Amino acid sequence: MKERRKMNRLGQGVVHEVPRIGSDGESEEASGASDEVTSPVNVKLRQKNRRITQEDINKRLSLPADLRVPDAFLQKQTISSEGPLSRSSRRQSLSEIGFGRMETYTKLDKLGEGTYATVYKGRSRLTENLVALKEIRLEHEEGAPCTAIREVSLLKELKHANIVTLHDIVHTDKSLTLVFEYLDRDLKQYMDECGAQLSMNNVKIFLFQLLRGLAYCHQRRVLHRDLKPQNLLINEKGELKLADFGLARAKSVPTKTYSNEVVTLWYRPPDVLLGSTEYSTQIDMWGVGCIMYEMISGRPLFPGATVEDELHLIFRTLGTPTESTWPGISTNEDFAQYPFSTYTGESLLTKAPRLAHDSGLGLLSKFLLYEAKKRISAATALKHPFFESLGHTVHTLKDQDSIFSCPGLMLTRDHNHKVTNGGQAKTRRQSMHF
Amino acid sequence: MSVLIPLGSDTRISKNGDGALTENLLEEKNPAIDYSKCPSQYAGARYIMECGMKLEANVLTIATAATYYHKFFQYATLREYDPYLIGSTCIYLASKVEDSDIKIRDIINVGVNCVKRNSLPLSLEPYFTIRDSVIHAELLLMRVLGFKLKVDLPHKYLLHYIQSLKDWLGEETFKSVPITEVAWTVIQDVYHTPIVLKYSPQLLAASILHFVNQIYGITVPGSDDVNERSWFIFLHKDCTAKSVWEVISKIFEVYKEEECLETIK
Repeated sequence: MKERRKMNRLGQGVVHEVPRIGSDGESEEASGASDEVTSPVNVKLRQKNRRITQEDINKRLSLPADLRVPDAFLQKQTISSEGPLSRSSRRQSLSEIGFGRMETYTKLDKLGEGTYATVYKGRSRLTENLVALKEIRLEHEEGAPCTAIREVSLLKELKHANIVTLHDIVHTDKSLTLVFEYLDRDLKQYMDECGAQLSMNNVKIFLFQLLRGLAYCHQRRVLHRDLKPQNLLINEKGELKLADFGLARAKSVPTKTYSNEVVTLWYRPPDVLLGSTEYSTQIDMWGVGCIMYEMISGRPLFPGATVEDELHLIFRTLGTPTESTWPGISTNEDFAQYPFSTYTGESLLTKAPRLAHDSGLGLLSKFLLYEAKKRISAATALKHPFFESLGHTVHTLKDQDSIFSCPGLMLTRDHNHKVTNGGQAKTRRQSMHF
Repeated sequence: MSVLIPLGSDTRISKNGDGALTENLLEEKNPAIDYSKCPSQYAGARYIMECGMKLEANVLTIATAATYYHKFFQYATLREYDPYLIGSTCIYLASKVEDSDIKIRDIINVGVNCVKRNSLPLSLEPYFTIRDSVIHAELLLMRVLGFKLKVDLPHKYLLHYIQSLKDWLGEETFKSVPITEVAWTVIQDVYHTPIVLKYSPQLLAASILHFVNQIYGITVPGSDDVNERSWFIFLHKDCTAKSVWEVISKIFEVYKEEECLETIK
């Protein structure tokens, strides 16, 4: 903080709305209210100043390349030496550009309303890009909601191509607005628009991306806890990103008990339905199986309305659990309370014949295991033969690389091509048998 | 795991049946602090620990709260912000992040009772004023912390290192002295000062454990301090002989600084 200013950032007459404390902007480090922010800047010129370009600024502030810095800001910049920016000067520059300010974003349509937030489509005046504005109401009784606090603190640490990016946080007296990248639709809308079924190629591309994002979270001991097609966002390129980390939390010590009511019923694993409060990364894997089935068959796997109904649907399809399929089930109190008949289970292949291809059924059955600890992990699932047709390069991607940077990997057109699409899918599947 | 024993504790602490400290001993070892006199950064941290214990908060929640608190006062001064208001706010935010859900009303009532001992519960109006202040301060705190709210705490590393140490020392030596208990006490005590921000959690954990070994004169077999091949250098790259001793000297200072607290006579 005490290092000499290297950059004459402040022209005259820059007025700060919140002079003491800037918003967070995109700064990586925790940065704080500093007296320095408003203190006069002593400029030490080391070499002849030169005008700096927008590229210089974007590079210096580690901003995305497509960011258009306002001309007024650019003109004020002179650069006297290279070298890293101090945290506070970077923060102030960001604030001057417009990060952390509500007037930087134009609110467009309302996209939806959640339990603790309203989501709007918006546009950033900096990049002209669309953004999603998640406006969190601050309650007077309790302050900022837990869910919002968890989501913010988790997303600050998760930087991955398959996890939605948090661009900015805008803080006013009445609300806290999280600025996310905008994605056109979620997986549920995507499936609805397809009408019937997704092509197998797309199922693989989406499932692989879901597992990639999840493996990254799990490696950092973060559970999502609320996986469902509505929380998987998809853009035009076909990139899938995990969103809505409101229920997720960093899992620190595994002995902790978690609250029972977390996963939306249809994607909720049976151990959680039966009152298990101690869960680990495997609670997310059941939901992955349900989503995989739904993409392949076009129908939700267990659309239960109540806990009993949900369990009933699961048992009817997979067979009522016994000590051999689920050790400890016979002494489970919740299980004993329900009058379940003894089902032997149905064939998932009859319900979704396309599972026969590329050992899809093999993978699915590893997600849908009663015993949580036996469920396949996200990292292992990525290596399953089901994904073989995606090629080998998908396994060498860096965290922030999109799956579509792999040569030859492309989304099949699912929309408005229902008839021809089926034909295409068939040809492709046949070709994969060679 | 272990009882939360505040500053100045030693190993002669007796426990009653359910593992809690006996009242008398607690009082003798921890005379009530008069927080209204000489508010300091140290006193505010102590306030967090006292409130945390009275609220039966998780050790990790208290450590997270204390970390926020020290970070906050790296940027702000005690002249500008009341350490006890910020302290209460830190507990509140930490309880949300660590999923322990402590009620704001409890935090306020416990806090007020620490600063004004044996006072009657607040009436509605002053209560609402304080509540609004805490909620306001929470927003401020989050911004100062840059919304980075998850803290990588040394506690889990300490537990791992204790496990390793147990294997290296052998069951018998390990059981002869209360290493775990004392280390667990020290790790909570170090949160009185900002040294927790300065060093990595791994280095803190290893230093605390070496500090405890030194107290009891325990040498790890095969460890060669003269040639700087101490046992802890294998734990993490940050744990060098130089850095561990530096941290240990800072831990001494934590205990020395306790003298600045004024107790109620």
